[in-house]
Amino acid sequence: MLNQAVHENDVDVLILAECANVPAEILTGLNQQTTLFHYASGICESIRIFTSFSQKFIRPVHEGARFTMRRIQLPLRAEVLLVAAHMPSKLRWRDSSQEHEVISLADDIRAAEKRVKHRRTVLVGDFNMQPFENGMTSAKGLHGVMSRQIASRGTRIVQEREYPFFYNPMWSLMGDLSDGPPGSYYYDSAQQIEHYWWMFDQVLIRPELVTNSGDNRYRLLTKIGNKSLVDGKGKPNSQIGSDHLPLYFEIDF
Amino acid sequence: MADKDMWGDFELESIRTPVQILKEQAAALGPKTRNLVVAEVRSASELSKFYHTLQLVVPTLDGYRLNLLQLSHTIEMYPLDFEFFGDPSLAQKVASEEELNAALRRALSAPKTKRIISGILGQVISIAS
Repeated sequence: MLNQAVHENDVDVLILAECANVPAEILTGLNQQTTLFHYASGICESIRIFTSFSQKFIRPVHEGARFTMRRIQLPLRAEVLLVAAHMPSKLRWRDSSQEHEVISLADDIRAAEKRVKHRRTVLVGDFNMQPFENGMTSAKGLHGVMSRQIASRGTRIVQEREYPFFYNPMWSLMGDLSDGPPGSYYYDSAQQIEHYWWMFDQVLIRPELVTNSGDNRYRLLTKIGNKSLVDGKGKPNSQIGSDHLPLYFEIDF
Repeated sequence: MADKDMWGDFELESIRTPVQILKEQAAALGPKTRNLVVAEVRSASELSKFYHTLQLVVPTLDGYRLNLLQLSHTIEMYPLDFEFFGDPSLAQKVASEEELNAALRRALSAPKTKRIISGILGQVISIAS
């Protein structure tokens, strides 16, 4: 099914979090018909990256147990910094701990951007947080905003410190008025506060890479071939796929 | 200062260099192994000599690398030194592009090369299953 999803969506970079299969198994499946995909190895075991281009064009810059930062340097294209992350779950971490963890990730991203000398950065992952939570929006955190126009300001100064924005298009994909499902993950519990739908899986883009060419470049997949990834009530069906819906996005660079 | 250009004329059309030939062969391995084993060429220069090493790379085994063969030459390219790490008896001086093609064919299709790649694939598949 992964193979079909990748080929029917013309995917160039496949990023998997928390994948039980070993890379060789996935690579063999992806290259069943044509040998198109490469495994871009790294030391972060919670993230696996497969690319339609040789791994020599995607090199690690900095990695940790839960994130990997790679330089994508394709011929005749501007370099991009790809950051993929899988942050700790709300099942085991308090909201405040998640917030501090994501601030550390944001610090690492800013440091990596200094090292590679650009901010053409794409950040993608399972953050186990909503786009509106403090770590995702605070200036010292990921500083993700819902508006391209605001993100296009580039940076914001708070208490004499300058922080770069991320544009977070996932705000626009939340709830019933979006074209797709209300979130990427569903959870129901008997608590006073329960969001039911969570947009844990997000892509954030620095303004340097944001284009104005439409919002259908970001979507959650609910179908692969003729197989639905959601059940009769529209919730992710982990019997067929995963308890998270896959996120598809396109970036021009 | 000389008032006249004393340089001769140069051929500007591209020539097929040994490293180019090696890179073509490196690119041909991945499709035969579903990219489980790929090949890369690493180049270095030292004391007016160029060294091009063909390495087998196994991304799914933590980027395991194995040097398979090496070409070394001066700026004049030929004759070059051809060294096959799998079988030192195949080391030779290569005088031309035709001889290089023949030496590469012998080394890349040698039983030793097949055994190395089959061994790596076996390792990869047994870890995957």
